[in-house]
Amino acid sequence: MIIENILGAFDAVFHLKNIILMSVGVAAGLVTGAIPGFTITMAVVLTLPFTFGMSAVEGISTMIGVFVGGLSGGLMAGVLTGIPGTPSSVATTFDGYPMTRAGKPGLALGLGVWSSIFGGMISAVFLMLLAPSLAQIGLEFGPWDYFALVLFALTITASLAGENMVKGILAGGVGLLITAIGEDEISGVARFTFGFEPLEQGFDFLPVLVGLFAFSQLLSDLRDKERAKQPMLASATRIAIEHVQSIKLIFHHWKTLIRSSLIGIFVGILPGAGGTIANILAYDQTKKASKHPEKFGTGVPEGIIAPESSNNAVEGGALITMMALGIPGDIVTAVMLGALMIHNIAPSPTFISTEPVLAYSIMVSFALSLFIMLGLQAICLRIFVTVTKVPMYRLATVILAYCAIGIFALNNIVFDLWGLLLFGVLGYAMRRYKFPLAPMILGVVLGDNAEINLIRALATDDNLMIFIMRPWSLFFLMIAAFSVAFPWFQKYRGKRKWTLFFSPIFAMMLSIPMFMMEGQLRPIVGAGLICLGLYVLYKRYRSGWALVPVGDDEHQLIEG
Amino acid sequence: MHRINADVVIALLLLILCGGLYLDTHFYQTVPGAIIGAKIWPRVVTFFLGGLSAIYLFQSLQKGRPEKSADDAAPLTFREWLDVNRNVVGCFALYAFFLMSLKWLGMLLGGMAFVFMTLTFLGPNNRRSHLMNALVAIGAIGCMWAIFTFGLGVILPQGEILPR
Repeated sequence: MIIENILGAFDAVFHLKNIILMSVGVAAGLVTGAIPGFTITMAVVLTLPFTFGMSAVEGISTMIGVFVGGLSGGLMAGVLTGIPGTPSSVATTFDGYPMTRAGKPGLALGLGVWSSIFGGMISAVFLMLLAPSLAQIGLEFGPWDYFALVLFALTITASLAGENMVKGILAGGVGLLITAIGEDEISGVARFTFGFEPLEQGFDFLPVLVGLFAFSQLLSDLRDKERAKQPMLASATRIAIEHVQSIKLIFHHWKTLIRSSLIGIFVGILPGAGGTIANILAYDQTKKASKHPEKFGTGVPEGIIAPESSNNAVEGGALITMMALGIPGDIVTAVMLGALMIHNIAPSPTFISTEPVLAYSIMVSFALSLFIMLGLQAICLRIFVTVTKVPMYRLATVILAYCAIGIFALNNIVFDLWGLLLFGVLGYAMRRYKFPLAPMILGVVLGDNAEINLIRALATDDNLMIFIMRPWSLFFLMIAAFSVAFPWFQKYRGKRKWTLFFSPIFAMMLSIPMFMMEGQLRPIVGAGLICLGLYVLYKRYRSGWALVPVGDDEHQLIEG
Repeated sequence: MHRINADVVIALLLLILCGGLYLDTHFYQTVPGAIIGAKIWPRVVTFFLGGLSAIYLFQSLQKGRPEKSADDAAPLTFREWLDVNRNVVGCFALYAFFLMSLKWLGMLLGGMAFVFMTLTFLGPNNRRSHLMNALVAIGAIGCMWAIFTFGLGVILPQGEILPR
């Protein structure tokens, strides 16, 4: 059955038109990702309008192409100029740029490109293996569990979103509020319209997304009057990539590759966490595991392999949660979820079984786009050098106009363009006052889902205690509660005694829903969690509850 | 007075917004036979936002002094603020003007006018630049208009000046 679906997916993806679209997407991603200030999310968001006229497979394949290209584009800028093209390639510059300055730019690029490919391939394998299994678990979920899962997605995104978590959750709440505007789908009652007729249709997903991310980002880039007039980068040059030497070095450091890819997959599975966190985390862990950590920052191969393999592996992880549970693993998959909704497809635990060809096409196109990226990298390097000579104000203005045309194409309604302006202003203000945008996007994407599941839950039984009596619901509410406390834990780790109890108590608390679940395996996992918690507590007791100072390795989600 | 900062103002605005939204939910009709009213979800969201806004207000008041970013070293007068944000305010204004003009100019002419005016506003002020701006406006918008109109079959606003 799986083989049949994979073959069907190959048939859908390996069409000439689809491959051309993916190649265009990868090339656009490579160039956009390479331009500092233009994020991958923005590139994927701007691709959305072009996908209206495509089939679901073509649309999603193109967007995956843009994403994969974007990640590698960020690497080009980071390695060649020391300025990361995207937040996902920040850690790549730590060793990539020194290697370039040491006269090995071709090797630095080669290591980055091939690490991206290997990391992506490892996560594609995990995607194919894990997504169907996770979807099976998702079939056990009732509306209570789904609502709790949405709450968890919002809280963890907010907790990773920066220093002020209240701002993060507020942003998520505003996202939920936006979806509540307009006519209620069940009763047709107009809500939060204040008698203003155009608001009855509500705000479409796309104007909100483009306004918040692309429009506000462009205007932030234009704020500095003098910088806006200058070429984006002056120092980019043409380079030949050293493929053979890079592959040899990556195989030599295979442990770094595997470890970093697994970190990427894990971070990708967590809702809201993305490549920004993964690349720094993988770099940090590789440095800690290295026999010569002092050499990091001088241009060592592991310093490029770790961040690049992890940031590409993120997407496989993020796609696992999107396809299996309908919860986006990061902002890019949130946009893809929106694109699927435009095609009247709503991912849920039944997605893989009801839309097998599309589901496996996503996996196949993810793997294919990695190879397209490899082929296009050299060509796009030349385009990148040319594009970066264009002043920012020219590029940004043309993209602003394109946003208008693309948004209008969605519904042929001028009101959407006003929505774009409104959310552009809101996004700009949020950036200025340090409100994270990621939770808000998640709120917008998951708002309808949350409402439907809450209404279903209340219509079945208005007893709110059910939320803590059902194991999965309790499980998600617990990890939501711990994710709310996580920023404080991170802040005071190694400084306050209570942080010594945080992880073991978290593990032991999670065992409660595990014991409530049916079957034999999950209670065993629950018992294992209790043992783990007790063991950690015992170890800390033996060390006299000593606080171990930790370095400044706090990782925050930068909008990407 | 030292406790008033941007965060306090935002929190207060959010609380007022939540109050207004909550009041609005009182005017929703109840559909006969509906098990759950249309007001439940808006109220859940409003309470959620209201509670968070109250925490945010409390947090901001406790912080006690303005949160200064690198470029806000000293309080700005309105004129200074406008000067710092000239590009952003100008772009928003030109974009709003472009939307208002769509009815008459349509997407093709309006888009070209918007790009040309924005480029002229943001870029260097000389004849060569203006000529380049005009070429960029005609080329970029012309291409995009053609792709969407002929390639994707989207009927873009035509305007009264240049009807199809």
